[in-house]
Amino acid sequence: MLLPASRLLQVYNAVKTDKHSSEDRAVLIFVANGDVDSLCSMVQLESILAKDDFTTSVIPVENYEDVQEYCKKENLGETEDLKSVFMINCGATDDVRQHCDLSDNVRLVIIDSHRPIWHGYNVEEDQNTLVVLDDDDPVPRHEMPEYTRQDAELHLGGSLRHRDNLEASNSEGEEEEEDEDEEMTEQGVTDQFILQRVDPAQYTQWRQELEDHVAQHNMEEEQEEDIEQYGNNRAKHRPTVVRIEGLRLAFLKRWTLCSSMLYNHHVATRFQTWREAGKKQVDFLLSKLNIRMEQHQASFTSMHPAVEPHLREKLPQTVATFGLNWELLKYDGFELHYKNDFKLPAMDHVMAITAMLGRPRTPERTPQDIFQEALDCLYPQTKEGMALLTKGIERAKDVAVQIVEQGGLALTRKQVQGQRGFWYLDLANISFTGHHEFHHPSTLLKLAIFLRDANAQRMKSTAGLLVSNPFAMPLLEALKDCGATGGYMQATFDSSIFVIKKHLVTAFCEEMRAVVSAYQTCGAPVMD
Amino acid sequence: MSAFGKRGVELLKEVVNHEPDMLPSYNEELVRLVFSEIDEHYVQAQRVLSAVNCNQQSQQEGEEEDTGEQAEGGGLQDKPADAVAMVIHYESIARNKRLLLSYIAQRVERLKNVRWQHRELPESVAEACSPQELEFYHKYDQLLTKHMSKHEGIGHDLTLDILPPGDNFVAVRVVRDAGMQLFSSGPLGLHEGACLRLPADEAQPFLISGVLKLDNRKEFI
Repeated sequence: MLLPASRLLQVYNAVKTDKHSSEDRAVLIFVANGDVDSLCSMVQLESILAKDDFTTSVIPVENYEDVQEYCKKENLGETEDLKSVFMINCGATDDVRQHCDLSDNVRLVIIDSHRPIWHGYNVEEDQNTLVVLDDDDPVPRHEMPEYTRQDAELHLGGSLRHRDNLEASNSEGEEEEEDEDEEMTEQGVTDQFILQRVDPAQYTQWRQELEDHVAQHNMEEEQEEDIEQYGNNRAKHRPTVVRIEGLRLAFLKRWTLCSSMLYNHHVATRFQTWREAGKKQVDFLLSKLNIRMEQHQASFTSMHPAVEPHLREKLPQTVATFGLNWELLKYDGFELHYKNDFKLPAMDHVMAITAMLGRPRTPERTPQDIFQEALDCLYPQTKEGMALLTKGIERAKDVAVQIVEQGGLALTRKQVQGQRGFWYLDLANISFTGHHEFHHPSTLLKLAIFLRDANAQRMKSTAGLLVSNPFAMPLLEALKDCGATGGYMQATFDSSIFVIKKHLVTAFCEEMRAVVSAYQTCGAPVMD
Repeated sequence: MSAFGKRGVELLKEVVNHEPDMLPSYNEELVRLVFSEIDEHYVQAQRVLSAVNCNQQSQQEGEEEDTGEQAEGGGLQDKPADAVAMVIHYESIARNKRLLLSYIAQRVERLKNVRWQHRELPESVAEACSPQELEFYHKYDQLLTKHMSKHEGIGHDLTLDILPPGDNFVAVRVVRDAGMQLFSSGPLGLHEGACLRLPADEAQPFLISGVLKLDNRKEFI
């Protein structure tokens, strides 16, 4: 059944009751191993369960096959004891109970931001499978189709949004919030924002809600510090979250100003910074701001301290004359402060962890290793966490450079082909440096967003906003028609990668073009 | 004569700079050299003392002959250089003795840790021990086993949980598959890559055997 966020506390209490009435008291948490939002939500849930002395087991999973395999290992199909299983950022888009053949004694609590929710969950009778649905969900409950037993058709589709309800659960269920709760929530929300799973208005609303939490928490922290001032004053050595109004220039404090501008999504798509003309345009913008070359090409730490405030003051007036949108260059968000010199905007933190999560899976570096390392990145106060975070930042910079350079080159070479509503790029035609590093869905998604926006800019049209993806089923049909389904390679909870043989690409593209044309004519995808 | 106490310092450094969980080979040669240095200092001190005594005696006899009265003086108080030499030799002996004792104490402490952490003497550690240290280990082992035994002692294995837990639960990560295991909270699969939060006493055996490792985040959860 679909569960309103307001009833989450009731569910939690039921899980607590189960603990006392069951022989099997351990709580199982499946967490999607692919985005920062999942990691942060998992940490928050783990923290809540820890307060009630739960034995927990967190299992990172990449796709439904992983969930199925683990359920089989744990023998969840035949368990006779009541068992609670949480699914973080996975499980909502498919019938997990049937897929994993779960026993009726297993209570599934699904907290997933992927949409659409499998309509089979929209039945009141099923009290053992609970899908949490936020009150401000972009796909509200009344828009979901009713489930009928005859209705066995799967709804597959692209992802949409958004945050989960842990924050609500935490504030209602637990008076005492841990230091890291705000940190984790703001990173989760920032992740959704960066990957364009929420629109700016929704992000602003959640950010404002979070601001109140952060302000209140910081005030309590200050009071605590006053009390501790005669003691060992440990509070100063805890990471704190601070509200900032800055620039949306990735890794500005860990790169050069020039590089941050060149590989910024908005600047790159608008100026076409993969071309010499675009690079000169950025130089011109910076010279208009009276920032000398030796300053903007020096690392941030070597840059004159007056440059950054000057940039923040002058940039809003100057960008308009260059056709840039100030709203897309400013960043209202949060920053992590630790000790005296460590400051990391949530945006950079999320990008670094996403880069770590997007590394290729190999026998030496298993998905579990990647999950653990990404999890460590959330704690820069530890030695390992700091080392891995630094690694993640470098990789994120590399990804940003490759996307702009190689994606831009593909556009210039007219390798992005298609028509309005359906554009495609044959990845075999572009040569990423260390290309195997860029095959993870999260990296490809960034490339797709970049190509969409850059292409729209070149075509002088508005980039389409992906509200829902009506082409998932037609895509499968087209693959089937071309006989290309045998090359299936990788799937996650919100995307699938298919490898199509070279000689089938043209036929597949023609098939998809026909589907899109029919969609544009009839308003619905037409399938054979 | 070697530099004062230098060999003793080398000996101690050898054990202190070694990996904390391991024991370096017992350096019999260096221990012997430190002992010979102590003997040398003793001989030198004796020599200084006998020279002073001799001198004092001859001076007293000379003065008695001249004055016909019993004379005083000619001892260490009148020879500051000899007095300083005596003090240095004495301090060097004491320092070498302290260094040797520290060396032995450090090794003994590590041997005791081996018993508490590994429960048995690993081959590599046994090879590094002197016969006396081996004897110590076996006697310590017997005493501890007796103390923990059901009939003669407290009936509880103290080595299972060496550190008093700050929390009843610990956050751990599974580094090696161990299949389904039964815990007080029910059966739980120890599959590689999973992050678990378990009662500290139940996690301890798996931590020792290397199936689990402590999660760095534990203090933040």
